[in-house]
Amino acid sequence: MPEEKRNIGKSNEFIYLAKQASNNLNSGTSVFFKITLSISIALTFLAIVGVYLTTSKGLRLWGINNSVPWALDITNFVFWIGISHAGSLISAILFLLRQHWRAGIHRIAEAMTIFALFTAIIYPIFHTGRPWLTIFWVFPVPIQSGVWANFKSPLMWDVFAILIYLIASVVFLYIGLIPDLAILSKQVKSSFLQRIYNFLSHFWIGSSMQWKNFKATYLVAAGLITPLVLSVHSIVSYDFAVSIVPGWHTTIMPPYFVAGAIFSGCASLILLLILCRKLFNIGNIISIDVIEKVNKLMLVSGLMLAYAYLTEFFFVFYGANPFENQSLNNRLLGDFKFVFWSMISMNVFCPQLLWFKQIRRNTGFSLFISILVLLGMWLERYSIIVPNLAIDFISSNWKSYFPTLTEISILVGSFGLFITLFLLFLKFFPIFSIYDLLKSNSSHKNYE
Amino acid sequence: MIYLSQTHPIKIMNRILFIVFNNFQDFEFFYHKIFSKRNLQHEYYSAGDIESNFLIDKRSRLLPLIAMIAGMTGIVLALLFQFWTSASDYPLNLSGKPFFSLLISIPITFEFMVLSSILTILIAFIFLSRTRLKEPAIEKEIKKLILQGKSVLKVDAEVLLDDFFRKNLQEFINDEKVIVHKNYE
Repeated sequence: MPEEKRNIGKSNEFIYLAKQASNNLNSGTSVFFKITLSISIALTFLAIVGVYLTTSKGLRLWGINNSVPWALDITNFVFWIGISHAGSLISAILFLLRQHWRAGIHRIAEAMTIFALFTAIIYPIFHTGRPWLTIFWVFPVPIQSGVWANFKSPLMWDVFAILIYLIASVVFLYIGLIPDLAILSKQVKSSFLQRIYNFLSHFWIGSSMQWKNFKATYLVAAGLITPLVLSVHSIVSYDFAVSIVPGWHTTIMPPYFVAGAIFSGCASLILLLILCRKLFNIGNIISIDVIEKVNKLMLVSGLMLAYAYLTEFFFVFYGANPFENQSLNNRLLGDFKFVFWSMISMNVFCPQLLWFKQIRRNTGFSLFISILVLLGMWLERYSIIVPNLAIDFISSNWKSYFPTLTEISILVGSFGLFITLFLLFLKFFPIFSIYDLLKSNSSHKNYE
Repeated sequence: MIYLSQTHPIKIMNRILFIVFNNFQDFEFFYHKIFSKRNLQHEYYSAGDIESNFLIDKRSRLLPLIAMIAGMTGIVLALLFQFWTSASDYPLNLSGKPFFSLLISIPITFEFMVLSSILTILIAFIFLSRTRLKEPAIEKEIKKLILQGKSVLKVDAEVLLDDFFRKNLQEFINDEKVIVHKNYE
């Protein structure tokens, strides 16, 4: 039996788990944590500089032009929205499917969802060029002439979908946190944290009436979040699919985007799980078994994505539309062929290594594959957006695109922002759900 | 606090018993195999209450109903809002398309439904889960025990009239697995 499996068996006690959760909150940070946080904060400053320059000097600092108005920013936006998906998948869908192995990791997944969404929102706001006016464009208020925002536009649907997804994810995370905050409010040393925990869980004493309400609320919230996960990325795909741009105008887009989102989200989750194991020494909670299961999810969603790629190619072949053919040729053999074939090797071929159990259970290989998948998924979004815009219907309109330093600094900085927010959350809130772990452990026992 | 044991004959003077389990597994065993079957079907006993850090396998029926009503209200409001803004307040002709269409309203209506349901159920959950402290000192002590990982079964003291229940409880007491509080009037 693996060491971690034995440990989780022994640690099947409330006191042990509560102590472990409170130790993470009470003890000082490790050197590795401090180094990781310092690097992520430094990267965040890079994004702040990029955003400051963009706001003060305008979008001329970006490489976008009239032919390619959406480029790195929308690529990053779709990438981060995708990352946010596996969080809700792990948490809500696996809860509905009664998958007990989610107990130790769903809090991390939910936090990943929220911070990835928060990072994603930055891009469309700054892409407007005048972010201080965003509130007038995106919220449903009439402008001076009395005209309302166009609710028939997928861009407007995007605003609603993402904001509501963010609110719903925060509510879902909060509901799950309540019992743990009540327990830990007596165990954390910091009076500041005590006050916050007490405020957030002031009504909770753990009576059967509260548990009954809790279970119903959590179940309904999970049931609401699940279709929301599918709808949000479908709506993001409508931004492309309802246009007439060759390469975008296809009905495969919603399932293609959802599969890709889950795929990249699983990769991101594996990366964060391995990071948490290293930072907080919780190998007994985030066991190799759990990492293997997420790897299996990644393999399945990767196969779905590969099928979506094939379907996309078949649509072009069967449709016999010259502009679609030209667009696909450009991606496969044109200026962007390096992006396309790198994407295929990282997203289709590389995950096939996960058929081997030894690789699925090896944290080093899992980390390596998940980084490649994340890179591949970023390239996929780039490959969908930029080449299709660069070569469209009219040859006089063809123009290439190269990212500028400002855009790259915002891209790199967004990773810093995400990791910073994630680490701060883990430092100030319980990493795992105590009651869920107890329940999932005890449910495997036989009391007959 | 009174320790119930062979040497302390039980006198049912108080209305409520708090049976404190040190171990969740004992609590779960006792609850599922002894208490729930006997207590909930016996006319003598009140429904009882369980206080624990662990999920109880029961679910409120009221909250999903509230969420459904809130969701349906969200659907109606979202449709009315979209109709009013697009077709009534300032109808805008976009390439000759109809001012309002149910199909095109689905995405925003769905999002509104989710928002309305999830916020309402959160508020309802907090509101319905407020604790009504009848005896603050005792409740405070119980909460303290719960936060130490113990589980508490709150039952009507008349439960001790049942031989089966009392015999099983006695076994736990002899093994020093439980403490019985019965000083709550």
